[in-house]
Amino acid sequence: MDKCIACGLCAEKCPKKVDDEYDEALGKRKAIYVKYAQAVPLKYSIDAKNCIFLTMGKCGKCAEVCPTDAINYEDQQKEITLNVGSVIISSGCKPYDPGEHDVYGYTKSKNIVTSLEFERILSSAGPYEGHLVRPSDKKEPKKIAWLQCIGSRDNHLGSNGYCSSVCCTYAVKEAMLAKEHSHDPLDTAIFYMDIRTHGKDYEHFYNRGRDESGIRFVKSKITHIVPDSETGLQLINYIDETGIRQKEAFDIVVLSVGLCIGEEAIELAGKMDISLDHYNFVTTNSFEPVKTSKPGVFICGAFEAPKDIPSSVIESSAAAGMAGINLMDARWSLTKTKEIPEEINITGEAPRIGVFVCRCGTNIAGVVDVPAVVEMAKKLPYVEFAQENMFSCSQDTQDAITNIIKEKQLNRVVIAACTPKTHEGLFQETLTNAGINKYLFDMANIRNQCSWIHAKEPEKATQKAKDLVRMITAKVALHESLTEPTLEIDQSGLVIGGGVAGIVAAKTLADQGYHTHLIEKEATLGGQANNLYQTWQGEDIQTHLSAMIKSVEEDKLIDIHLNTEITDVDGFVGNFETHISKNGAAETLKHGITIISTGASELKPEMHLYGEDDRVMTGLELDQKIINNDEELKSTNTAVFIQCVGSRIPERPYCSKVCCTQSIRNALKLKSMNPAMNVFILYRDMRPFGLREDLYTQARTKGIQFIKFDFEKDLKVAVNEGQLQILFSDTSLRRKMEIKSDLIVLASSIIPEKKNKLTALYKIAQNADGFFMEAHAKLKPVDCATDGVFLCGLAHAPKPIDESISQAMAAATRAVTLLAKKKMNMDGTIAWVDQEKCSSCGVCVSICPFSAPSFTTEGRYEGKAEINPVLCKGCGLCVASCRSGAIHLKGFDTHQIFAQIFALDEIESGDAGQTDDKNETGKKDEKNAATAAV
Amino acid sequence: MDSYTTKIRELSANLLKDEKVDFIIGFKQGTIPMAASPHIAKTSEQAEQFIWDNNCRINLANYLTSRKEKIGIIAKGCDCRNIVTHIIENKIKREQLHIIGVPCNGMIDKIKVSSLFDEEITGYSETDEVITIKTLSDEKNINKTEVLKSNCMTCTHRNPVIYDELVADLVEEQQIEDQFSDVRLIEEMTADEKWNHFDNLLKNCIRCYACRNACPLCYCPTCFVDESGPQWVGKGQDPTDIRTFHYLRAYHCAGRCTDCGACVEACPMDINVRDFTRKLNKDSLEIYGWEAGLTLEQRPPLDTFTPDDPNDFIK
Amino acid sequence: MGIEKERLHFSWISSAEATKFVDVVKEVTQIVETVGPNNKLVKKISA
Repeated sequence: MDKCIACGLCAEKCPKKVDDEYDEALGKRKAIYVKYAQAVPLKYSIDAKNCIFLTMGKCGKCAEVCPTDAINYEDQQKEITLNVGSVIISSGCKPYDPGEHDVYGYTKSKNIVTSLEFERILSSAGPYEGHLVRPSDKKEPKKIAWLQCIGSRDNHLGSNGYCSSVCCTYAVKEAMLAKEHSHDPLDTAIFYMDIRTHGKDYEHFYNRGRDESGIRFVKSKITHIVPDSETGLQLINYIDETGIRQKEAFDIVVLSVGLCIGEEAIELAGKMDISLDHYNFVTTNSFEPVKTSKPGVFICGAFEAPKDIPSSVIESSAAAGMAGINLMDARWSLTKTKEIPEEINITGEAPRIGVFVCRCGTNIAGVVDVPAVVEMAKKLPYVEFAQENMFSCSQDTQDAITNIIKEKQLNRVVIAACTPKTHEGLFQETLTNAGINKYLFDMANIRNQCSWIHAKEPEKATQKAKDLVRMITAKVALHESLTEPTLEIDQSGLVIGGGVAGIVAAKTLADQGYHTHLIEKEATLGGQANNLYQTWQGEDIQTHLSAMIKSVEEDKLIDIHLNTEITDVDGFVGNFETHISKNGAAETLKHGITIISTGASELKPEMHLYGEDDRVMTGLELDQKIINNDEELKSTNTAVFIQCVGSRIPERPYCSKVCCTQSIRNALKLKSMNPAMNVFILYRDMRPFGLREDLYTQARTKGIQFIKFDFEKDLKVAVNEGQLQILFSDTSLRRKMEIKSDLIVLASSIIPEKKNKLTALYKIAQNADGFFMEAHAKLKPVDCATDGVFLCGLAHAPKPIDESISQAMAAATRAVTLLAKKKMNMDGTIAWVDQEKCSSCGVCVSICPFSAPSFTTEGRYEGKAEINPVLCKGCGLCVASCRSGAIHLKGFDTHQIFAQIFALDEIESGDAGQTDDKNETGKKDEKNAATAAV
Repeated sequence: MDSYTTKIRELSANLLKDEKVDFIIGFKQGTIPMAASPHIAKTSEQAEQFIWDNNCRINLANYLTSRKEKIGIIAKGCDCRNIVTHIIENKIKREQLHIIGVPCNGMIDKIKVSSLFDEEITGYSETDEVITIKTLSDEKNINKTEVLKSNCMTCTHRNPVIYDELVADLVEEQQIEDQFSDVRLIEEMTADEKWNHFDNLLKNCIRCYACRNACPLCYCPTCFVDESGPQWVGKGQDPTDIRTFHYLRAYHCAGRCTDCGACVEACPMDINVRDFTRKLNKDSLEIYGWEAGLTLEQRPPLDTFTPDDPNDFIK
Repeated sequence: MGIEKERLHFSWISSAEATKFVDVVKEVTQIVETVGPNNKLVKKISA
């Protein structure tokens, strides 16, 4: 496996074709294969069941063609014993199989597909290369339907009672993508029970799908589907919202299948002795959301509950952090340090360039005439050495390059191969190993930009490859050794906001051994949790909260600053200085990282008689009454919950995520206090997502009435002869309704602090709703775009307490990955100021998004700009904006880029131009200088 | 204008006497008619030479760049706007300055005046509304409004934007209906017509850089035209290089130009250099609602980024 | 300044929008082809 370089020759030559399970058997793969293009590690493996050699004893094609001798037919399964201190289970889930109890005709019609199959159909790397067609006859569809809750929210045989949480959003995504893929206008319809787009920004996505893309949403119950083999259409029979039978035909029906737990996972849980719930999800409690029933074993991802990518990524960081706490003493004990040869000083040397042109098996050489490119390269100025490699990235070629660099005393290297995005680091390491600075290097991407894109025009592809090599060689000759600024990281953290998220983040940092400041603007810790009664799982919040507060108060590594506001912030990742005002007294805290957990609050509505009539209250106020054991609640005859007060409206278009579950839980509580009480919940879509669906089911069996009101029509709360009444329109009865009530609970939205001053202080962004923005919604859900600043809790988005806690753990863990390094190497390709030319105009200081430029405060160049190398990201904004031409970007300086452009210009003189001896290049540059000035 | 002159001399003499400033920059009578030349007074006696008339066209802010002294300056509306820009761009500090503000009624255009005569002009005098021109054989009274500089005709900021003292009461600002009618004429041309227009405009340019040197915005230690590594623009008389110089210089002034007319005033070949900068001033106003040099609180629009910057031009 | 406006285009294209990139490049090329080769602001250099 170490030898495989994933060139793909083996799979190309393998004669055996089998169904590709990754393409959901819609396409074929070979018996030697990688599961999918992004597989890690990217290594080919043999499918023993289908391999001709392994099954019949002859063939061996792959071993013949393998350039690195990586094929081992004898390889056997090995048992390995690892001694570990913690275990994290992230074995995930599997999609629901609609074929097993085939209610919808999935096995009968090719045009009824699962949502995963549909993903493959849309994929450009999929079986139809991204062309949207019907599987039966490869015709372009005119109409596609999605059926929601397939295998979810369904207590029939083989189905699951819970909500799979992700399907509504992915169905909207698939419908939007399908519309984009389709050449002709495509009609898309989503048949649903409730649309549950409760994740961050998902509601916006739903609105866009409906209002901009024109996806139809049909609230319905599907009775059955009749495929017509002649037309290839599927006739969906359903009952609409008002109870009327309807029929509609579609080209493709996509079954939005849910997530469920496979046998293997259950078996694993059995071996590990961790307890599972009645759906076979790993049981956890809301306050330790990644901890299993077995000490030292942690859980993350969809094996814990159905969840989306951001939540899974958050939990994975949280689980890693919790596992890390147990292993703290062993930190760095198994780390090996690499020996790096001393760097050769090349100052004053003329460039000696080595050009290595990669064949990449046939990947490049199949199109580009690689020997011709090498020949051309040999004649270029300052090129001492040029050769072709079969695979430049293979370990032996790396070693060979290292030796050539040493032997020929090369001081610049060009690799013409694939993309720097994946391979630059690897080749730079080769340079480091050879003892020269890693910035004396550049790449020409002759794979993506030549052999791939011009596969059908080999001559042009070769010409372009020559151009690219000539250009990059001209540039690399001007490269200089760059030093990477190192930054010491202050070994302490700051957590802003002392709610549940802040408390957990601080505690996690301290448990990992880091001194932590916890700032709270109020006089007490706890934040919104102080008002909460129970989690959806029925855990008492107040008891847990006081235990949590006590744990941080007693922790010697945590300094709690109450009644504290932030006044100003200096510094940057590794070295923040935050100025605070604590009970009015100024103080400065130094810290290496910052975690923002400033929370959000409950909207105080200005409607429905709130504030005018005591019997109208918000969800949190009801929680408070329950905590206080309010006697009046018991004597209430009728209680009505109104959902989405202030949420999912044009002014506040997001879903507050927690209110549906909170209302159901409190409705159940009221019912248990007084079983005779009439309890109504008026809703738009009920969103007790994931396993919370159980609570919803329970509430309905307990006689709580759920009524979907028409949001487009007025819902009014009034007082008539002292009696509270609610007037609204029922969507299924299509009638105006009236409920007389003694108590009205408004499920009021969660609102963040808009224009939070922290945005400016820590240079982080808020979205249009006022929640802080993460660096990447899916892949970096707790990092801010600013280095060293992390995010958790309600300040990020509305979420229940267990998610806040895992996010807080995740944020602290991400912070620890930074703190544990103690030092950071920053990139060498950054801007610098030629102060002689600087005119002090301050444009760079004004436009830099990272505050890297500032004015020199003393010495000869006082008042001129200088750039803090640690803050500079090398974006080049200042370089472009400098009127005086005083700012330069290392590695991309104007003369380097010009050299590259001038080298392109040589195309007109043809290849003959390259036979010029080196003395002429000077002249040529002069000529080119004049042209380029134009 | 005599009252202005008297007041300037009086204020300047006091400033210097009280040693509130190291020197004062203003105007004195030039050596030929219709020319006021810059004058620096270090003593109250030298301050007696200060004058103010309709020929104080030069932008004195240009003399402030990177000065370290405490300076008094006689400044009309456009000078003040350039002083503001200078302060924003760290060319001088507000505390270093004592600004004697001059509410301005516009300057006269010496090219317009001389074109009315076939002979050399030998004498000039003025009253509030009328100027009197003498040649060897003639003497003529002309209404000042008929020979106003074109940038003064469209000026809407005649009063000083910032000042410590004023030489007279503020004047009424002009209400201009269409400030940019000249730009619009060019905008309406086809691409080729525009090309020819600028070809014609620049055909006499000798690349003396007087426009650049007169402009208070052009203070870079090394101007891009003088840069040799890399050489952004050729040094010769090639029309492409000439154009490149003018275009790039105009772009460097985008959002910063106060339309003071110093470039035109300085040009020995009578090129209307403002044709370049005017378009950018119009765009600054229309796109960003920005006129340069009116506030110390904000940097020019092209120095800043806000998420709501207009970006309709990007598809 | 007398350069045809057909020669200048702006577009937001994210790294994930390959199809849009291709479309934009095709559209721009097509538009530029309609105005033909540019002779303005080109410096002729005698060899």
